[in-house]
Formats: sequence, structure tokens, C-alpha cells
Amino acid sequence: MDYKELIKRCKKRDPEAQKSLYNQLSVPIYKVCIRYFDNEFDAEDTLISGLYKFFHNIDKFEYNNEAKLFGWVKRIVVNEALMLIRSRTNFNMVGSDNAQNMSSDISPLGDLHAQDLLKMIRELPVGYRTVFNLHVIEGYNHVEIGEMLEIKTNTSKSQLHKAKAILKKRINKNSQYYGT
Amino acid sequence: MEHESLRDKLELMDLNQVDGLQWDKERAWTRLNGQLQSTNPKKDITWYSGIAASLVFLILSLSGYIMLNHFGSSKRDGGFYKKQLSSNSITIKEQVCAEECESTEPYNIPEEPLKKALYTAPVFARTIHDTPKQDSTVVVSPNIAQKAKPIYENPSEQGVDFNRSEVKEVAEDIYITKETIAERSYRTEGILSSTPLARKKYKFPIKLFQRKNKSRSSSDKSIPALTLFASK
Repeated sequence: MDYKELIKRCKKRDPEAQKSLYNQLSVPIYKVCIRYFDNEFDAEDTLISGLYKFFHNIDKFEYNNEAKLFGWVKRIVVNEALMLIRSRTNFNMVGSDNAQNMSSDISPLGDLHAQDLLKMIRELPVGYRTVFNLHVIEGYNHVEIGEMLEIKTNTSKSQLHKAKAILKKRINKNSQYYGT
Repeated sequence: MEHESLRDKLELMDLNQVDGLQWDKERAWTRLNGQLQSTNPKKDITWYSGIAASLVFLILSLSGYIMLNHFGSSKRDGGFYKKQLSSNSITIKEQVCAEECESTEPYNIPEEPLKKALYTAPVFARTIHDTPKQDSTVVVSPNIAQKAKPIYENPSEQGVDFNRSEVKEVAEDIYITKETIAERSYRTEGILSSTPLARKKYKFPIKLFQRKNKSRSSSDKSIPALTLFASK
């Protein structure tokens, strides 16, 4: 797939090129969206608003390589997701108690199947899920997350800790259930 | 790095194997495409289309201006206002002069039909001081009120349908009369209708109906003419 040519045509607002590029981007980007929401509707809305912004501002994008393209679109979509979540959620409602002394061991998550991992993430409360996604999956630090979500660093740490605690509990419960 | 392994795992995941997930990629494209096409510039639109649109707008504006001047003009002569309103069913010839208005008797023109007439008049609604609220005070000269009275009292006998344009014309006439009053430094209808002294002094004009909200009328200090009268 020649992304460079596709993007060139998309800059000329060629509908066929837009469709082709959508076909390439939509599934991997939707996988990002679905991590941030517990329902498909919000995920799809975020995908559409993010891709719309991408196509609308494609003139500003200079194609170097595939990774840069996907990274750019992903960043737009994550921002869209955060905007939607922020509009509905008060992250500061969760306290920042004991945020400094928390275990970050979630190694059992690595043993899960991708579908189970996604299911567990999506079942988390929205605040925990968002911070978990940003920190554990995307790799942002707590200062960056604090700026993105307009919350204190300790609040971010606290939410992450609680998210991990819930995940651990569920993993243990599943292990006992399956006798592993 | 833990986040890389987890991310890779999630990115390589097959969406079809996620329980309960029924995402329709084509439906999402239809939605996105709809948004994109509504903002994509049309290929065949060129710079001269804008100029053509501007020319059409200019021609329409000029036509409207000429039509208004030709058919909707009013003549004013030394405080006299003369206007002829005609339609298929009624003809009203009116001559109004503030100095000639002697009557201070209010005309009992029913409120609802008059309101209906006034609120169906776009010109009136756009320009009246405090419209289009239900409690607007309307003042007209006795002459025009006298002419208007039978129309409002017995619209059917006069061949008036309140949904038709004649009523708008009557309302427009009332408005123009109000303007004439304003030109003669009587200022606003609010003052003239709410100040008995002013009514007695100038014997003009009269109210057809008053504000329902009395407190608003009496406490509205924002009307500049109120101060004017008070100082006299």
C-alpha cells in the first residue's frame, strides 16, 4: 500500500482515496478507541470524529513513514476520546490517598489473552480505565497524564493503583475459577 | 517495557474474537463519509462561481430596493402623512396629523384581534419598540384607530381575513403613525400611553390596549422620555 500516494490524493479531497485510507486505518484505530470506552457507540463516535479531524487537517501532515502516519492518527483519536471522557467524568472525585507507595506489579496481565485483557480493561470504571490506558498501554507518565486530564499527578497515580488492584483481584478470581 | 507488550497484544488482537463486539466498519464509513463530503469542496466550483453568486445577490438586492421604493413608498409633507393601502377587498385612505387629533376617548378595539393583526405583521414586529412580546403597548392616532376599528370589530364584514396581507398593511400603517408621533418629539409610546398629563396636554395619542404587566410599565426607568417629561 502506497500511503504516500494515498495521502497526496486525500489532500485533494479524493473520496476514493479517503475510502482506501479509511480501510487501512479504521481497524487498528478502532482497537485504540474500544480500549477507552465500555460501549461500541462511544468508540465509533470517537473513531469518526478523530478520522474526520485527520482528513480535515491532512494538508498539515507530511508523510515520512507508516509508523508516523498511524502515530499521528492515533494521537488525534486518543485526544478525541479524552475530550469525550473529560466532558462526562470528574477525575478529581477519586482521592489521591497512598498514591506514593503503590505496587505496580501487573505482570499477570501479560499472561492473559488479548480479548480477556481488553474485556477487563473495558470493565474498569472510567477514571481507572482512562489512566490505565494512558499509563500502562500508551506509556505516558503521570505528569503527562495529569496535564492531559487536568488532574493532579497523585490523582493519576491513585487511579492507576486502584485500576491495578481491581485487575489483580479479577485475575486472581479467574485463576481460582479455572483452577490454575 | 510492560506497556509495549500489552499494547502489542491489544493491537494484534482480532476484533472478531471479542465477545459481544459488533462493530460495522461500513456503517462507520458511511457516517464519516457523510461528514467528509459535506465539507469537501466541490471540484467544479471555481473562483468565478463566487463572483457569479455575488452578482446575483447584487441584482436581487437592487431589484428589492427598487420595488420597495416604487411600491412601498410613503410621502410626508410638513407633518402630514398620506398613504393609500389597497387590496382586493378593502381600501383605506388615511390622513393623519397630530395637531388635528382632538379626541382623547379611547377606542374599545378588541385586544385579541388587534394583537393578532399586529403579530402577523413582519414589518411591525421587526421595528416596534418592544415587540413581539404579548404585553407591548400599542399607540395609534385616533384617526387611524377610528378607521381601523370597524376592521377589527367586524373583520368578516369588512372582508378582512386576519391571515391575509390587508391586516399586515393595517399594522404597518399603525406603525408608521407611531413613527410620526415619535417625530413630533412625543418620544415613545410607553410615555404617551402611561402619562395622563401627557395625554391631556397633547390630547394625543390614545391607547388601544395597555401592557398587561403593569409593574413593568410603571417601573421601567430605562425609557429616556420618562425623565424628559418628569423634568418638565
